[in-house]
Amino acid sequence: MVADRLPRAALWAPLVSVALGWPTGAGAQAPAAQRPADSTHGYEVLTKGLLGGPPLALQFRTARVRLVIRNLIMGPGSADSVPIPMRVVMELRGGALTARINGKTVEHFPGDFWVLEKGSAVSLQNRGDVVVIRAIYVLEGGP
Amino acid sequence: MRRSFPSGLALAVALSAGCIDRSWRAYGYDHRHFSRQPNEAILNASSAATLHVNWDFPIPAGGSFTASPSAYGNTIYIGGLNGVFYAVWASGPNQGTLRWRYPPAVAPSPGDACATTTSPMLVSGSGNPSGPGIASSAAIVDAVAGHGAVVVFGAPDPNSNGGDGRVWAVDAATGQCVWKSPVIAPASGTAKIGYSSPVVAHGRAYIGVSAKYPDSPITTGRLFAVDLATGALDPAFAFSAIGLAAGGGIWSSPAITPSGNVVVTTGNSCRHFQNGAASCASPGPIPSPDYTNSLLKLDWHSGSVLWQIQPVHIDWDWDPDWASPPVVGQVSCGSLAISVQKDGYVHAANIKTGGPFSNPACSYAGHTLDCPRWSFPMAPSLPFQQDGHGDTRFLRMGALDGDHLYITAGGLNLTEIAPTDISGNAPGRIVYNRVYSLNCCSSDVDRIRWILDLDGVAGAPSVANGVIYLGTSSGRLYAIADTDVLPSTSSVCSYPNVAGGVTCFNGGFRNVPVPVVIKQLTLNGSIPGIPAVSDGQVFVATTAGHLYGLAP
Repeated sequence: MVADRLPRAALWAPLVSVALGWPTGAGAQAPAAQRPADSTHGYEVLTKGLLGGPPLALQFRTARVRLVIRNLIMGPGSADSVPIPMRVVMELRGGALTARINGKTVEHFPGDFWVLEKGSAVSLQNRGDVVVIRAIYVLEGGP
Repeated sequence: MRRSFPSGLALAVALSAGCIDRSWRAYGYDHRHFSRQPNEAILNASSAATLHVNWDFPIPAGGSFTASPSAYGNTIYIGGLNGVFYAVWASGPNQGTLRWRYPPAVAPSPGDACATTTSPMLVSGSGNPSGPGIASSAAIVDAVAGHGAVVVFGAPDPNSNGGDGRVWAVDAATGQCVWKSPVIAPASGTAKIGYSSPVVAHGRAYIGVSAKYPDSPITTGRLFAVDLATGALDPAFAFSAIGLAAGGGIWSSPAITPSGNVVVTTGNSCRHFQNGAASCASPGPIPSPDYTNSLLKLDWHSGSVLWQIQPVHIDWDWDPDWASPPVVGQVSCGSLAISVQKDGYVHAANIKTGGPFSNPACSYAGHTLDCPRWSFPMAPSLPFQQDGHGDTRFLRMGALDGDHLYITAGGLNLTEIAPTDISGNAPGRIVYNRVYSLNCCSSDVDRIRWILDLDGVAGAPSVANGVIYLGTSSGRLYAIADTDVLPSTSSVCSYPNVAGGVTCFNGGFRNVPVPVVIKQLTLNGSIPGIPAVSDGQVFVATTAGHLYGLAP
């Protein structure tokens, strides 16, 4: 079930809360079962230019690993200083995206996967109308 | 009318007003498919607010309408999926009552030119509401073969091999059959006349055929030209959407360009069944020629392809049939052919050229593909080289009023797959209930004029005097005031499910005006077709088999 005592969680809880859509503090106490995706108005601003949809959380039963999955969307334009509070697997679901990661520029196309390490310096530029990213945040628990 | 008019001029105006044609003669109003009534004198943003059911004609003994009504000579014409074509009085003391039906309740004696009986026009085998009876909307043509106006539509012949598909011409006043065409969709084959409605030009009716049972098997799309004087097929006109393998069914109704050529859309190929569906005789290979999943301009005389737009690469053909008919017309920035593909992308092409021929990024080997003039949502490059262009069911034609297009669209970019549960059940959030007003001649970033979210899957719109009429799958008929007629009082985010205001803005999206809904009526049954606007009434047909006359 849920890691109701993630020892390091409190250190970066505010940042995680923004990236994962959790209420500060109470977020770490969220149940392991998925939250139903809000069908309307479920998006929030992660950083200027980037919105995050309702998160779905999954706690591994046999490992201290928790996944949080959410859609990220961008309208025309760019998003700088994208928060990467933990390792995250990204999949470009739709649109055309240019990512600048730790100073390196990569163009992504629908179907591309890539991994961002915690704390990476990331900016994203939407080359088209709408970008839809599937983001899987990986929370690895303490010992 | 100004009081200062000289009496003679006033008389002339009055006389000319009396000659104004307020009929709605065909699917999408006429051969251009604007779905706009230019001569409506009664219905406007003020009077439409009092719309109510003036009369209701239910199919006797039950049935269903998926065709759209046509209006001519104080009569509404429409065929039902029960295989009966109805002419219903539109107004006057008999409004809402049957004028005639075809086949008639009593067979003609002596027999007529069509060997008419009383059997309904049905063909066995139909996997969607394009059958088993009449889904083809009617076109009304003046003066054919010694008759006055005749009604032309496609339907199965109950007296020919259990429902061979033919084009029919029936006297608009009497219901007497004038002629029936040779068979264009043999009942023994894989095709039928489905939703395709005849478009009239050059003394011909152009009409297509689609799969008798959708994708099972896929059929070869063909377009025919029928001589209106005789009902004979024009032997000089031939269009087939594909070579050896099946594909490219024509579910849509063709339109006619300003120069008289034919624009049509086609369905999918067998390519996406390459992993073994039995419904395709030759799955897998890329067909040649390949006119599937395309918007095509054809020479009106020969049927030869003048240009083709195929926005989805055939390797990503996961059934994005192009089933919505095209709208063609001259807008302030030129002449465009506009249609929405089943994946939700709207494509607008320069009618003359199909698009800028000089852009190599828009073409791929083996094709004369050219960029459309614009796409909505904006597509960085075409054809799409990505998966997911599938059966997402954007099927309804738009309406065009000047530069303003009203259409239900979305596109994959507006289709996120929501993580709904941990079992992999992710139905996504494909938005079928969002009607847009798009500016045909703006820049891409200013394309959207307004957005309205409806209560169900949107049907096809019509427009008159700045009021848009639109039905939904839940049986709601909307009368919507364009923002040029009534100013908007609210806004919505251009991306679905994102709250308007700051969140929308900070996501890089636009806060877009919402038009004023001036009237909603709940009718019996879904409303997939086009509400016809004629002489002070809106005529609406439903899948529950009701034909309504709505009046202020």
